[in-house]
Amino acid sequence: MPELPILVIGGGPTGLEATRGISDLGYQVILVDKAEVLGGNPISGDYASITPQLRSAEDSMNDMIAAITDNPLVDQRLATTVVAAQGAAPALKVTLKNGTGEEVLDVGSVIVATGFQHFDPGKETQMYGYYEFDDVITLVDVERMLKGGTFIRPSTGEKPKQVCFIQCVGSRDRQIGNYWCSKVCCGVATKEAIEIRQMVPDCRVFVFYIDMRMYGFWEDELYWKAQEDYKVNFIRGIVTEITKRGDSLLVKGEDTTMGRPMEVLMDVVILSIGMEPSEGSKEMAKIFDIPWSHTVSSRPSAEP
Amino acid sequence: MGDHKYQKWVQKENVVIEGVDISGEWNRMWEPREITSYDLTYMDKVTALPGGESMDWCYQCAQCIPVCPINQVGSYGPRKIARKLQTGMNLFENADLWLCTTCMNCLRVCPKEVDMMKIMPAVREQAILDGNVPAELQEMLQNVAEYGNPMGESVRKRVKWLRNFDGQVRVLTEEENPDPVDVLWYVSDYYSYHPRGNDAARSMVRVFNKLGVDFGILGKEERCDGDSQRLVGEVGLFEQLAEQNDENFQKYSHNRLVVSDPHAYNAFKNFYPKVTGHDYNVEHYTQFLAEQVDAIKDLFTAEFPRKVTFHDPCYLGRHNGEYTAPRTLINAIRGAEFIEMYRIKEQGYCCGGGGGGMWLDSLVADHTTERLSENRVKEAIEVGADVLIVCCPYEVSRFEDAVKSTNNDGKLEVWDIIEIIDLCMGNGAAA
Repeated sequence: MPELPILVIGGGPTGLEATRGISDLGYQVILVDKAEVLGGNPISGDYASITPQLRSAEDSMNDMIAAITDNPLVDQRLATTVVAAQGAAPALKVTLKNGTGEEVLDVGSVIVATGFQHFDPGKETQMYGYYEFDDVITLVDVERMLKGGTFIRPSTGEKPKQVCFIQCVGSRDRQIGNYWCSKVCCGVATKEAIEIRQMVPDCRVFVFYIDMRMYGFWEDELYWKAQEDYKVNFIRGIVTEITKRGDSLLVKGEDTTMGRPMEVLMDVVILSIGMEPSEGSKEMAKIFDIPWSHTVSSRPSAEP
Repeated sequence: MGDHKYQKWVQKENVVIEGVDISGEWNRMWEPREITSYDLTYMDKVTALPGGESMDWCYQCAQCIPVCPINQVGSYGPRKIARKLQTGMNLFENADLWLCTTCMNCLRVCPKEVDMMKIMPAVREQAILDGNVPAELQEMLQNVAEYGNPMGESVRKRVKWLRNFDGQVRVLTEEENPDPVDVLWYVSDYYSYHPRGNDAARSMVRVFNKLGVDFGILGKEERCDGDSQRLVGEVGLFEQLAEQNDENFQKYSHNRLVVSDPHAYNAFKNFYPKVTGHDYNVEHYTQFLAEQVDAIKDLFTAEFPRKVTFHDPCYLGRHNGEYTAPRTLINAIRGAEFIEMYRIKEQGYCCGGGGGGMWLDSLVADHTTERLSENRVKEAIEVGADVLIVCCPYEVSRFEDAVKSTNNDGKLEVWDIIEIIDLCMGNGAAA
């Protein structure tokens, strides 16, 4: 039984689950989050629902938060950041900072759960025009709309007739240094495709992909369900160009399984942006001296 | 064509190039290659049909394409049809609707269970209702509806093959209060009407006689089994034929129903019960004879010293899982060297006759480089066989034509198994 409490940094799903697990074992936890509320990206990003069950994100997060609230073993520190650390497990001195000042705490170990931030679609090499065209939006923008109980074409406020997702935006890209698959975007996009079809049944939904990466039962729970029950159209080949054509967006790519070029008009284009380490994760890596580079390949160009 | 497209397709009214008239729709090669819309009208229509549901389940793994027999001689397969539908093809009025032979090799490997055996009849039924049916097929359907056989021959001629034939056959429908038989033999259309089928039918009788089989036939009352008609979308006709044949199956007491034709086997075993509510104790003749292979061997007096190979019928093999019975019989033939082809059993290549292919020769020829039967005959020759053994009545004539059309006359003979068994039992008149 460690005498010192365990510090969990980050109050998103990972940090909340870590806190619950540790306190269930009877240990003391100090849970720190820089935000004023717990819940992490699903709350700050206004997610409508959680993949794959499509349960309300707010309900899901509230359940996780309730599981650690009013627990004498859990000391919640919100609007608080970790600014320094000394020593090593099982005895560290960690400096926390909030609006009232700094405090040094003795902790036995630290769990860094500072998570990800959404990829900024202005950085992608294809120039999809996220910041130029109102009707080019991201997975997160869709979540926000769905949470509000609607799915509209931002430029007109009307229900769209034809929309598409473009997968792997900001992921799997050596040129921008993101040499990873973000793992969840295929599932999230497919989930949103289902939700759009539920909300706007007349709207045709297309997903342009390199390969649909459906982990485990997401295959059946999301991909097959979207295809078979919700008539979502999956088309292999990533769109490389979006231009304005009249009031619509013209997406240009190759329909690879037909072996033909493809130029189709869309009312809304949704960029399936991936994940990058959050600013907090970068900070914590420095403070706790966590190895940052990820050697995945002997090829020099794969070095970050 | 999407409205946004600056490049429009061109169709010139009068074009003659090097003496070839390619006016109008024949010169649409100037159409841009770009896909400019994903018009799902016809995909929606297909998936809305009972039986058509699985068309858009395809996730483009492409496993169906290498095993699709049509794709060996053209560009075809469920994956491609699914994509063409997704890009606006009207399958109801497209040749793609009629090229499928329902051989079932695609479904065998399909991880998503996209079922062309259900999709094709469903879409074809609608096409027929819309009046979009190839003329050659329409003629066959009319023949079956009017005469009960695809050849359009009279009902009386169904027993013509029995004339001047000394085999012992009880035509139950001509007897008054006939005694029950052990075997009710369903002769089938091609055995009854086609000259090469007649050879096999007479062989069957002689073999049955030698084995002492207590059997009878329905004679003029027998009707087309209807399975191929069902698969080209004539469900109503199929049901009518099922009722008609069932009436006689019920009327003439028998222990088992032995059929010459794998298509009939499939119909009686898997589809008649849904129409008539009756189950049938049905066997393909190779199954019935394989049970008695020892007795057959004892009756053999002659050898068949030939290099033989065997073509698995799709409707006996993949559709009903029987690969052993015909091989049991072939292996019993004395003196024959049995060489298997490359594409056999579960992976067997289709002869092209199923699913209506038997009556779509010109349409198929317009969209393929060669007939499936021609492709198959070449394989048989390549493995060194000089006899191609079959056990489906569609196949003798199909393959014999293919031997001729591939200029292989004299290199390969096509025999029904029953003809070889008959010959080895000492009947030199066969074939």
